[in-house]
Amino acid sequence: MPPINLRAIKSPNEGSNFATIGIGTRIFLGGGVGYVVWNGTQHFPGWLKDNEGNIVGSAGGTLSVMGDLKQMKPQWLRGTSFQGYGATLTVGLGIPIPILNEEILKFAALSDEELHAPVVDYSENYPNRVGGNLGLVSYAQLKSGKITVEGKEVATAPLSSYPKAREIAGLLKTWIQKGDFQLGEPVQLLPGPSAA
Amino acid sequence: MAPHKIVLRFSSTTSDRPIIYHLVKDYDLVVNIVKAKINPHLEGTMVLDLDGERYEEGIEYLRDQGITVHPLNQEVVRNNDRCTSCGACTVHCPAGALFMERPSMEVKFNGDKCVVCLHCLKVCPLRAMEVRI
Repeated sequence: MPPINLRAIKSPNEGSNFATIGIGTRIFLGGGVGYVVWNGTQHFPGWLKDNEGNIVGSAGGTLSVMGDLKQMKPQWLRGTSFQGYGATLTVGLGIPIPILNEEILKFAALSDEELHAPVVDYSENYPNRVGGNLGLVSYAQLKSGKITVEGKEVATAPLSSYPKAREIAGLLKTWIQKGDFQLGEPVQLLPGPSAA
Repeated sequence: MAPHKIVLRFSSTTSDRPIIYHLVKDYDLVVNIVKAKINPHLEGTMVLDLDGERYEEGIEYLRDQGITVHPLNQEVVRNNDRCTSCGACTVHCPAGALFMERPSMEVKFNGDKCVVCLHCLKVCPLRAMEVRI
């Protein structure tokens, strides 16, 4: 496993994850305006740790959202089919994160080198319910097109569009700047690390 | 002149003949097998780079043998309105025709490199890759 090269989070405060996202958070959804309802299924709000137990990021939260289909555009709402998985929807989604304090800024400003994901063996371990992972890799490594897993070079590819994500971020930014899209405080934040 | 890129389609009865041998020995053609999927008693396909002075005679020989011959040119095309540049195809394309441009992470398609293996048609979640007949 390559050495982890990041500012390790020393003592994560409760509520560091999902500090701004909760029920009622206004979002970009399928080209229109939608809202966060609550967390989604398989919401893992805990921390991702390396072999030494250092926190290297958040494990991975999910959202359930609602929106008005009549506001949405085909461009941001596509029927898709993933080989081996089946039919699903690919939806353009953008969540605004207001920078309310230094800690939120620190999390929002993390670079690709500082964001990590576990390598999971979906061919053998996962279907046999063998836990754990084959190590951690950074988004910078993933975006380079190849990673090293147990000494072997493996090609990588994303499944969601990075250019489209940037486009959504730009659209949401113009909506906010024009005053068409107002940020509000959620009634209740999503379950954080203590719920993990 | 650049070699011709062609696709041969074999029926279950024509797939067990030494076709390439005759193209080289009888017609003095230069053969490069780009891709081949041939099994006894089954339908098969082969993508060839084929070149030589007696090219037309070689093609005629193939057709006499009951093998259909098509040019490979631009058989796979991308529907750019559908493609979102998600990138799922880029690890599956064996020819490097579909690749990610970095750092923009946009998916590019170079039709000249395409060997028409058609893997991208199944792998593309948005069905943006199409075969032009």
